[in-house]
Amino acid sequence: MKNSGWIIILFCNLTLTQAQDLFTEFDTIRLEEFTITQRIPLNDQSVLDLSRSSRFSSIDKINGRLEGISLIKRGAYALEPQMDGFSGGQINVTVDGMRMFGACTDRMDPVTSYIEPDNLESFNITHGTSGSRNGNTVGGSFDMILREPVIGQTEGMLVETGLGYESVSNGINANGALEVNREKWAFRTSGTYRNHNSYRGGDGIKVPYSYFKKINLHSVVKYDLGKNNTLRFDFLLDDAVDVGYPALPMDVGKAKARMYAVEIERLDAYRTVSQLKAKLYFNSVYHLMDDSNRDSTFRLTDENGAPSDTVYMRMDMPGWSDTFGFFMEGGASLGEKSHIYVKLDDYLNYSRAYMTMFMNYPEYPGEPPMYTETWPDVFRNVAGIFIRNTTRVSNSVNVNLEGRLDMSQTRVTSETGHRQFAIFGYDIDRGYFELPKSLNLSANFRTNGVTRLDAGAGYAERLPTTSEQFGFFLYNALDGFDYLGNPEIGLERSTHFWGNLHFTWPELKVSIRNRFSYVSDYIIGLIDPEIPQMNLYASGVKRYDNIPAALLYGTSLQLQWDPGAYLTFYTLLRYTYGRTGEGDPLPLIPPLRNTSICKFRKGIFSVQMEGEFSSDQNRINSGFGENPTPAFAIYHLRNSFHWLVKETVIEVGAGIENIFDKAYSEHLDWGNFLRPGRSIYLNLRVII
Amino acid sequence: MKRSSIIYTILCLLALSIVSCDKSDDPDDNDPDMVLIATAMTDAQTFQVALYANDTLFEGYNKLYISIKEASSTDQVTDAAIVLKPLMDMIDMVHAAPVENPAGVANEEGLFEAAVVFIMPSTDMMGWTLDVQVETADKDETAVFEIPLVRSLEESRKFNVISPLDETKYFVSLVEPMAAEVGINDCEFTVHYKESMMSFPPAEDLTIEIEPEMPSMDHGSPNNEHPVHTADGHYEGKVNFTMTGWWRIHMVIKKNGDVLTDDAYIDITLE
Repeated sequence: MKNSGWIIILFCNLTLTQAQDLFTEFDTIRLEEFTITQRIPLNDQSVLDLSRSSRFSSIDKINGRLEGISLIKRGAYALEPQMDGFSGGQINVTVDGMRMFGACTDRMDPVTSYIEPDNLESFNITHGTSGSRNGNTVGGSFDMILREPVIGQTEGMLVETGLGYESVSNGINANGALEVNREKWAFRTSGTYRNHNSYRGGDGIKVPYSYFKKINLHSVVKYDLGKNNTLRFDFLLDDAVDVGYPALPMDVGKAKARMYAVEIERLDAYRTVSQLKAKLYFNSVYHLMDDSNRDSTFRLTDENGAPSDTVYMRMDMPGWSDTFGFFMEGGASLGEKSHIYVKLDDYLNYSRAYMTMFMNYPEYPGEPPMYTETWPDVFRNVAGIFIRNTTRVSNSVNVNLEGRLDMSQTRVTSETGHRQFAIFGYDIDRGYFELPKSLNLSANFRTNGVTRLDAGAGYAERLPTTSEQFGFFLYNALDGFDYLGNPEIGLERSTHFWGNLHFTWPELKVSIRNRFSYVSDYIIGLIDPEIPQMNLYASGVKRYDNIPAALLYGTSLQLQWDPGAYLTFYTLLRYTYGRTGEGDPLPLIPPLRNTSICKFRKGIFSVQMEGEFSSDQNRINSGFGENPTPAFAIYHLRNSFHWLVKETVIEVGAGIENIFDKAYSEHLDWGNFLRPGRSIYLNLRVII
Repeated sequence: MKRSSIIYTILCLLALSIVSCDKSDDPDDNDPDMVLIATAMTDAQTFQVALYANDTLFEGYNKLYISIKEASSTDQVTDAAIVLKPLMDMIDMVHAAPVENPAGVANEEGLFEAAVVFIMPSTDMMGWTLDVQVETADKDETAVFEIPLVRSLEESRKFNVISPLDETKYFVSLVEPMAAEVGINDCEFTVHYKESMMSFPPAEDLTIEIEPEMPSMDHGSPNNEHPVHTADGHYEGKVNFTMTGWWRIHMVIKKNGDVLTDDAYIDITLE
């Protein structure tokens, strides 16, 4: 306990959430360890603290444990977050409020894949329509807050280094950080390196193409301009190479992201106006798919039907996504009981992706390459305004009203793109203008310090993604269809209701959450038998369209019990349900799932036992390539030791994940390839 | 005002004359897409006839541009009845080819537009000749061209069909230049049939169905429009290409509902 407290002081990173306005409450999850005070209701932070496997947890491992978040898995790396059955363009994934979009037409690079936990201070998670602070969304928002050094107070310097090993993939994780704090400025840089081979599944067999390698670097400089003004620069670099995707017919040769941001913040400038912030940013993502290791996919057969070695097709599929944007935000008190927060933002995204197929078919020698534009130079500009008013009705009741209006303009500039879509009867030589909006009303009630109820209702509209609107024959390995964008596609609209009940006693905390969304004009791919597929391995074409309705419901029960000073029990039970208006199950809906943890902590030593349990999922949509997934139970054991030697912290962690070497896969894993089998890990971390 | 407008008119005329003086009379000097195939004098030496095409000649539908000048004055003749007679001498037999004779007037560039479907390539042993008969108000003369070369294309722009009904031989050609690109493309075919060795009239009563395919990818493209007859054996439709590369347009040709062929095709490669 003492040590964890010491770490808090060391990083002094709590200021931001604590300084946050009393009225505004986000599901904020901090990545640094700290003890939850007894008065705070149970939240995702508890999960995180308890289930963090080690300092080297990937962001995916962290996300997968959070309440209401599941992960769509296509490979060992770059898992795509899903919130209550919403994913992709239905949720807003941002970095410090900055918009960023992956450059892969096949969603192999969710924005989370460009961030390492080491760079992160916390997550801000909001579910459903109420996540519209950084952009209109129907499914929720996931804002990753980058870590920053602290200016002034105590001048100092901090060096942190760590090394970890995972047996299942013979993988190395290494990270390091340097932080310098001075009276007028502060600097922090942190880097992570990961190098993993293909891992072994629970059946003892290597899962092919599950390797990856990456480096990530984040640097931030802050400078005190005086009078509570701070200037801040951020630079982030993430380079991944040779990333395998077992569920897909191709891998990633290179995924490269750069992010630059400059920010001015003015804290408590006046009493009524507070937390003024302006930020200008640019980020650029380059993603190159690569099938050069996939000889087997396109082997020719000889006369006897036996495979011969000739590969007859190679694909080159580069993609780029550049986003340039800014935002300004600030809060003001309106009298004693009311607070207003306003955010103005604008971003311009330029996405393009091309596909060239090189044939080497012995029957047809010298065939010229085939070229098509899978994202034909799509520009999108979105300007928006977000306003939130929070009113304290009484000491126990807060009411929150927030609204957002976006103005979006999308244009395809490629001539080839225009001609490609003309084939399907679309004249896309014009701007596509939309005005997505949202409105949310919520309230929270506290009684006697034990019970708290949050409830709300909201409405939101979201823009179609580049793929949904202008994607050109994008192959989906899950259902085996080529997807064709629909330039005339409409906004997706959601009406959302939620109610969360929290009970907080000193030793026991219970949270029950319910979220229900009625989505109209739900965007989904529908089979179009008129259109022949384009990719060799595709079995048909689906065209994105709005279907009248879909229903999604997510619920969870969280419980934490702290009997005495040494023991903690925690359990999270969650369930998601989704169906179309016609009653067909929505694809990729996770089944009933439970995570339970028992932790013992005394002095420098802690040990914890974890169980993850999932029911089978038979509510599937076979039209989307889904198979039933059987139930599974897996167990992990984790130990850690902390020592404080003079000024140096030494932390050793060791454990076994998937102790019984269970061969399993989760329902959201594409292609049902196995998750890692038994893995022994060992970590060492030193902070000087 | 009046004076200025007169000056302005004079300036305009001057400018026009400079422009027209600049312009060479030889089309291939101005138009990089135009190739001079051959020149010849008519038999009475009255006219100098030059033959241009969009490319060197090939087996299939070739658009020809004929320039006729009076040999004495080098004045461009723009009004004449012109009849083309292509001829292939195959030692043991002689045959002609389908032609589209020019209208009686030249186009804006002073050229007479015509077309010949060369139904076979020339070889070292045998070649094509082309008689161009020029008939003006007071003259009727013929220029004889030895066509230097009719190429056989690697990617054929023409195929023959022998009708299973009556053994009639049809010649189906893609009208070039097509300038195919990704997207919707107008496509035009001509069909002629062999009436005799010397007569190849247009076939105007056929139905044509097309289906593009990428042979090595095993896929096609949607929303194509079958060519329908317009005039003189020309059939116009639309073909869609979703990407660059090698495409094959499969064709089914029917006459009064009877299939003449259902396994013919023309290949088009988009660079």
